Amino acid sequence: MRSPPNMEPMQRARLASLFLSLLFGCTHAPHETARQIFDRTVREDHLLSAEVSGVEREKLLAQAATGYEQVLRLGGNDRPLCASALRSLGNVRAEQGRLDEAVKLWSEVGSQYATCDWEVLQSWKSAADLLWDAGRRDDATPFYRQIFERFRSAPSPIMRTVACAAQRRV
Amino acid sequence: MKRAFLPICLAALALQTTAFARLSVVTLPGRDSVQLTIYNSADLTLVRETRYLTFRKGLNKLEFSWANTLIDPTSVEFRALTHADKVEVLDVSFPPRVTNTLEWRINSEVAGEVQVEIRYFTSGISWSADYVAEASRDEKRMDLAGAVRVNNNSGEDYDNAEIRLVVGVIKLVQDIADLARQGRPESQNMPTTLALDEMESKDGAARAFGGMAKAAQMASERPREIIKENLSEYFLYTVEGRDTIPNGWSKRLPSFQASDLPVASYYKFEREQWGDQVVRFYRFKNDKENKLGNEPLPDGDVKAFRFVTADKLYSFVGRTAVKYIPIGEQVEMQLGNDQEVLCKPTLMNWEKTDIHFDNNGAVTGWTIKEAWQVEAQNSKDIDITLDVRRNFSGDWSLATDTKYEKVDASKVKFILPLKSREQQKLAYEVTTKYGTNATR
Repeated sequence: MRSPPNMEPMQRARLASLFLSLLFGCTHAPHETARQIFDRTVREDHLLSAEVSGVEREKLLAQAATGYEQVLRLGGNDRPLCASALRSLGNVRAEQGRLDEAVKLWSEVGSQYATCDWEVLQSWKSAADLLWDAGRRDDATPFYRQIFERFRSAPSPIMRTVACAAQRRV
Repeated sequence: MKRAFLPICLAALALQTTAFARLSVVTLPGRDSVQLTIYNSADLTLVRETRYLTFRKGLNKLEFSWANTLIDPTSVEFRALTHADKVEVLDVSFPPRVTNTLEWRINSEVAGEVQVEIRYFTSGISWSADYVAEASRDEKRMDLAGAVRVNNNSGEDYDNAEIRLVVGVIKLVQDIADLARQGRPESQNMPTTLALDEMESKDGAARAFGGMAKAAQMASERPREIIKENLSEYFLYTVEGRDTIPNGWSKRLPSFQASDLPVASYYKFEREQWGDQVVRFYRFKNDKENKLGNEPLPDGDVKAFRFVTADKLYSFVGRTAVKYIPIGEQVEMQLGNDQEVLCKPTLMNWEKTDIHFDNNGAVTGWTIKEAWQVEAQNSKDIDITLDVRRNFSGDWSLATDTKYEKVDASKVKFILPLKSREQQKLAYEVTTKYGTNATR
């Protein structure tokens, strides 16, 4: 691919990067592992999105979503990492105001990564609270019920606290 | 990696505060105190931080983030230390606007200051012990200084922390380690928090001890020490005072200093073990008689030096590693070869005698006599003791004018006191019977 002769080096690099992205369907450096992409996405996109607003925030959230989707594609057998990425993607969708999509993703954490207790708990709780706060209490109740039934006897006090609170909303 | 924001913050609606804000929440005042109990054998550290929070009456929100750290979030616990019966955690939620953050919803029946404690496990903090031994010129006395190095790669800075180090592997810690490995969200099984109360009950005494350490540190400018305490199953060292250990840093802290303790230095030669080199050893005992014995000594590296002049110019003797040394145990430090002490065995004569044959003329028994001379030389400026060990096999017997001691069925040792610049020779003849000549 030839660049226009008046292009700055930085522009050329960006164009090359875009070309590679289109070619390979991803935006991460080829050497990056799923874990590295996840860490970078958390650090450089998702966390930062909470500190800005407006267009910048939307842009960072979109980048975070892309990052988590890449992790899900590349994560392979790293189920805990994929569970984290899927839940985090749900968080991004919730922040983008896409409530139903967020709830669907959180729900999938429970079905696809059922053994990942901590991720499942966070996902169900996020779904339940978001639906409850949105006034959709009938939709929230099944999540609270699942939390209570699964985590009421968990050895972790924090899990039991969540289960106990969930019971009050069942 | 420094965490993106402080681990704990209160939602603005809940509290008044003066600290800086980097998010849409208001940060808490800094930790009032933080205590790290490092279980080295399990890559596990129990963190207990206390803060004074100003609660309002009713609902309060408190956020805790473990992003970019090795904190095990399933182990996180919150409790009020004051007004405990009036402060209750109602719920925990996970705000989607940030990742790896939880939010406690806390109901308080009091308005005002409450001291709270947050406890959790983290990995990534470790410690190692090391020692510096400084032997006197004659290698009969020694100063021994111990230190511990704490390494923090947990992702979190710990400022002004009280540091406690656990020596020894006990079943409780093994259980906790197993739980931690299972419970870490990375591995997604069961959480660790089960063990927190168990650990608390185990180290209850140590808390009071830590307070003493703090008071002692405030009271004087003397060099700090590490205070040690025997807690039956394991040994707890509390580093006197407080230290800041930022993430990514390691810090060396003095542990103990013992002066003028008796030490035995000796030199060993055993070709089968060390080839033709003479190896130097320092030996001492970890007991009260020898000015130690206050605590077991954790395994660690030792660097040994020897003063060589009256004005305390000293030379490097060697370095080695010692294993965990319980109280009352003898320590033998092997410090490498010393080229100023030589030992050279030479075969002076070899003879095959007493040969027996069977009816077909085949050899059935024979005896070999070897005459050896061992030349030992001390080029040092001090008197030493050289332990020369020789190994034999089969049906052997030894004839010599030099006093020796049998170590086991196939080994003898000659103890040679060598004065400075002295050379000695010892001779022995070993007779070994083979075949039908052998009687054992």
